[in-house]
Amino acid sequence: MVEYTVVNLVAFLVGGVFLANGYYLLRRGREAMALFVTSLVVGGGLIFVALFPNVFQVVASLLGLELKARAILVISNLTLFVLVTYLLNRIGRLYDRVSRLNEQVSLLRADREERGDD
Amino acid sequence: MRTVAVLPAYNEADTVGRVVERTREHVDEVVVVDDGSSDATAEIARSHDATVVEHVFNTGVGGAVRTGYQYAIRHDYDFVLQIDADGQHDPDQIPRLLDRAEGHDMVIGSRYLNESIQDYSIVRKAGIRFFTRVVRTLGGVDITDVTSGFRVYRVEALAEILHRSDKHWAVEQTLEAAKRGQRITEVSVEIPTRETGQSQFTLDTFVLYPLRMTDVIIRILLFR
Repeated sequence: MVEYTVVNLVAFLVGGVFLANGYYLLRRGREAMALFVTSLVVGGGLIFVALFPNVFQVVASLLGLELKARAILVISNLTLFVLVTYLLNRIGRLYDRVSRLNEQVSLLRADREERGDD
Repeated sequence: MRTVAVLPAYNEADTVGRVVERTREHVDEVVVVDDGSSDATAEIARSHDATVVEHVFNTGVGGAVRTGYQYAIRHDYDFVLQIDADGQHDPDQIPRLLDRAEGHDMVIGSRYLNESIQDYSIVRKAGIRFFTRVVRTLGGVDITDVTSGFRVYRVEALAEILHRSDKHWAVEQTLEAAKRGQRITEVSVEIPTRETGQSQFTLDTFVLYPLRMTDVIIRILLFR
């Protein structure tokens, strides 16, 4: 018999927020599919474990862990690690692009001033 | 031989005018790259007949010099001289750097070939020595002052080594030039510590310096 607690409710709500965020990003067309898929996986995963909390007992057995709480911790840490790495990578790439844009805009403005002087 | 001087400047209103005036005596054009200053740096530079390229926002000295390099490339200059706008670099030394540039791709004004390095703090000296050693070892090039911002580049060669880092450009760029077999040399230039304006070496810079430099070195080793 599955026992639902407040934690399950919170996990369900957070999962819903992830899914909604992914849908919002996709609708606005501002981000690549990768971000939508990430939101889908994380959100769907959270909702799944909120509805079926005992699944972590299976995961714990697979990982050779005694308690499902430890399995939750391991999976959470791995997920966070992947997310943080992905986001840092994207931030770095965006910073680089913004910097290049800054460079190009400044040079174009200088060109325009130069032509205006002529 | 057409030469352009590039002055990366961030809030250097007190000194930029004089540096522009003195630098123009030795080059064909002076370009001030105003890196998002909040003071009158750009206006003062214009009033001294410098070409001013204004960044939309502050990116760091690396981003500013890269914009200057792009300007030199687009305008088909033969050499680009890089000099600080804070008055630390003596424009009267420019002819010595330009003379040496004939036959070289990069000329660095070195503080370590004279006594002026003695005025720098222990931390700063340790940083310069460490990163110079890194570049010497990884690049197999005999230099003493990799972080010096008083330099001359052959534009043709510069186009191959445009760096990516906005904060710590010197190591990445010099190391890449060395790995590409470019001809790098140094000239002894006295560079006193700056007395006015805002130094790029803030607390943030010191704290993050090792991390950023490690990032740069790893990036070059792995991807370039």
